[in-house]
Amino acid sequence: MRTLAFIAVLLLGLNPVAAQTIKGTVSDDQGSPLPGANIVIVGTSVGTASLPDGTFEFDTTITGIVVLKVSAIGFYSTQQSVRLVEGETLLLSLILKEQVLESDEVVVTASRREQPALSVPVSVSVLSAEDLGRRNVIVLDDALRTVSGVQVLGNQINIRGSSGFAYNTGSRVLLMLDGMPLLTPESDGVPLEALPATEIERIEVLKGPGSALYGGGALGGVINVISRELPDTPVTTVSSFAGSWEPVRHEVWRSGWTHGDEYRPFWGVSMSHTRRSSPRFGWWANASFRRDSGYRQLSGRDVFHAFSKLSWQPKPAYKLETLLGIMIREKNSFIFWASANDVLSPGRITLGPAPLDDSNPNGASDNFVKQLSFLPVFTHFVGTKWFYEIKGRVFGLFVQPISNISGKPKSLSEGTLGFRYGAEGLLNWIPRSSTRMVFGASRDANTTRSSFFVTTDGDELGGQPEVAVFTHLEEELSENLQVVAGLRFDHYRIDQSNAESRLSPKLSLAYTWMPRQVLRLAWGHGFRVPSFAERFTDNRDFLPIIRNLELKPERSQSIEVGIRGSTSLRSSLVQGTFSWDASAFWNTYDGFIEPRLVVSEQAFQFVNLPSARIVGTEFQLEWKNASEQTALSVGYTFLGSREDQTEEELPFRSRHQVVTSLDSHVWGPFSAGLDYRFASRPGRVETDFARFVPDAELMVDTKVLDMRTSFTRGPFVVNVIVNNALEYHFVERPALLGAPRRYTLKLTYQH
Amino acid sequence: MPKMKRNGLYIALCLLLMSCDNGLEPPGEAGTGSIRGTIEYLGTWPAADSLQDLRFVAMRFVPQDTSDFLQLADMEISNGLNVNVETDTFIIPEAKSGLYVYSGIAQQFEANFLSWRPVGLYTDTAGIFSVSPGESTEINIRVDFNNVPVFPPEL
Repeated sequence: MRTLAFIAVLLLGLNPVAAQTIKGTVSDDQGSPLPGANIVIVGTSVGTASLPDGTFEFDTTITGIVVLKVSAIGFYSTQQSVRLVEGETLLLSLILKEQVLESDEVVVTASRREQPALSVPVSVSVLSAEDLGRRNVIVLDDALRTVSGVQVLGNQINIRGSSGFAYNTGSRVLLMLDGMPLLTPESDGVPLEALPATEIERIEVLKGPGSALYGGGALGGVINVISRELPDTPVTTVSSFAGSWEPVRHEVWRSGWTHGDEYRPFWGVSMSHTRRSSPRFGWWANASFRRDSGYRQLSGRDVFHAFSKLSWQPKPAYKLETLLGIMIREKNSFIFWASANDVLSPGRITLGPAPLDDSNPNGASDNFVKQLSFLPVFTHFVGTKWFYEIKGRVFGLFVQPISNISGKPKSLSEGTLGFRYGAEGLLNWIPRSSTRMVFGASRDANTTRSSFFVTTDGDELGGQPEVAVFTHLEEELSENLQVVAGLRFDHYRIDQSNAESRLSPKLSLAYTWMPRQVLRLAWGHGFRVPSFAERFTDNRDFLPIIRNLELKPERSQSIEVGIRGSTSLRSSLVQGTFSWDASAFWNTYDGFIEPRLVVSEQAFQFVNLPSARIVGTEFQLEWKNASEQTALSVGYTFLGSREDQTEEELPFRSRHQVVTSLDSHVWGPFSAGLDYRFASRPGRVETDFARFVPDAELMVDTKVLDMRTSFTRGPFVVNVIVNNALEYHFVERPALLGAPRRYTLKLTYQH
Repeated sequence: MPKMKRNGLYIALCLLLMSCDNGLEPPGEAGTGSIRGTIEYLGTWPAADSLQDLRFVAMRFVPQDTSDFLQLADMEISNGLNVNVETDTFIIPEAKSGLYVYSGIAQQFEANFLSWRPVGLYTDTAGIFSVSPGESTEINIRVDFNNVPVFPPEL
């Protein structure tokens, strides 16, 4: 981690020309205009923020000598004395020196705008584009596994124990792209595969309820994926990778599958081009294809992916940005194994003592999926103190099961056709440099027709429209104390006769008690409406699940205290920059939605637990040596969970989690790194699933070591990566063997 | 940090991690054997509408209530048996090897999946028998419809 070193401030002011009106431009030391810089007369609330072209103007009745304070995120703030003469205009050309950001990644999730990580009053972790690139992250879950306090169980993300194993339905983590929620129409987990991994600037993981800002999906946390900014010069990137899965260690497992003794290949190619055609128009586009034969039977996939971002600013005060994506995927989903002696073969569930037949196993499914995303954002800077944004979102999902007989996709009527669409309006008001307010309203709807869902409307297309109004305040009460408060009201219609409303407040404080030492306190409410899948799934094709029309929203309350800081040491023993984050959190849940076996129905059903709580602590330590050629990070999370009624632990939560990462420049063009993650065996394993699937109760610790090395020469980068280098076999979720050792060679060309 | 020290850190970390165990392992190939049996029926057969199904069931555990019938992974179940006969035979050609502690003939008396009850238990050798890999285990069961076993079993 790098130290934030304040170097120098350069502020040039031209001589006063007139009085009472202050106008001019703010730019960086390269001459580029700086939008959003705050200019304020010290000791007053008089001031403004610069427009996208860096210009500003405001009036004041004050005359005489005053002090102007100029500040912008990522730049050193400064103050300058000026003389205001009655009736005259003061023309200024202000230049701010860019900060050398060493430890403060810029984050946005905490309050819908960019802030240095150090001052954000909630727990947040950041993964940079470099972090993704050197690990050859193709699907984002590979990256999220390296974040402290985050576990990935199948396609579900679990932040600080908020989710257990929920049969791939529902999610307590909200996935966002550039601040816009990505919710699949059927809400069956987080759509990580739908994101362009190669065009990501950074990933921010906000831990703890975010419902006050982002609504119901953010009960356990928020993952905000920030796409790349448009560079000033065109950039073309071509990358390809190839590798193979190593056969698993045990002969018994390999013998259960015809291909069990083979190295199973995977490969992919990706091309991107980014260009700013003019100062007002720019775009990037990415297309990629990958093929993975899979390390288990019936787990291969082909994925084609295209994504683009367009940015058009016809006038300085107007900006339109659009993200457009399409994903086409043929994917086998391995759902559960045959047994612990045959982990590479899918099993089959037999309901009751019916005669066993030779039909295909139902522990795997094969689908042809198309997914569309369209996310436009319009921004208008109306004046110096306020601007508004209008955001739209449309997602389409087309799932066609593939016939076991013909090998071709069946009709959509036998799969899922869904659309989720909505819009959001945001009014940002900045009355003074120390105060920022956001007012917003949103409307979303989800129309899904699926052979898996049985709704109550009798109308297959229609369900769960939602409206929300919200407000958000940031106030710097003093130079050391920042307060963030939010309130959100959501109203959901579940079906024709049921609607739910929730009010979600939030309050957090950040107090800088020493230079680069920030204490924080955060309190907030969260809630989540049952997903379509949790409420309406009624199917026995793969797992016996029945719908629950009585399912209620779940609610949470979270309190967290923490401290974040950094320092530089230059002793003879240790040199470099240390940064740390320690937090303690207490989350209570009411009506927690978890799957349970309903004996009378011989099937699972999602039910509301009376109440539950999760308490824990998290520590993160990062170190970078003085030359920044070596970096080490360690994160530890402890979770204690309890169902209040039964006094039992919540199932499928690991009490201890450790993630470590080490990267260093080894020699010349060579660098190397490793990631190690540990998660203790869940303290409680729900055995209901094991009634149907042999050995589904088997869980072990997770201990995975990934190693990597890279060679850089000019525009070429070669990566060699060994994942699960220790060949440690673990269970990712019940009855699903985690990824074994695999080798990857990646070549990247960027010009 | 000197390169030697840094490389040493890598090597130490790798050695530490390599000393870990290998994680999940196959629990061991239990193997399979066959269960063959002969059934003798006594008493009055139930009415046809309460004879939805009739099977031999061998359990690795002693059930405590009907919900335990869902532990299918720890049960072996025969094909449907003949009804209204005096004797019958059954075979389960591939039963997991190991001990079976509660076994007998089960009658499904209603269409509901959980509407099963035992009508005759294997009682020799305290009701416990074992299946060895590759071997056949033969058992005899007497069913007296006028005197069916208590369920749940008394402990």
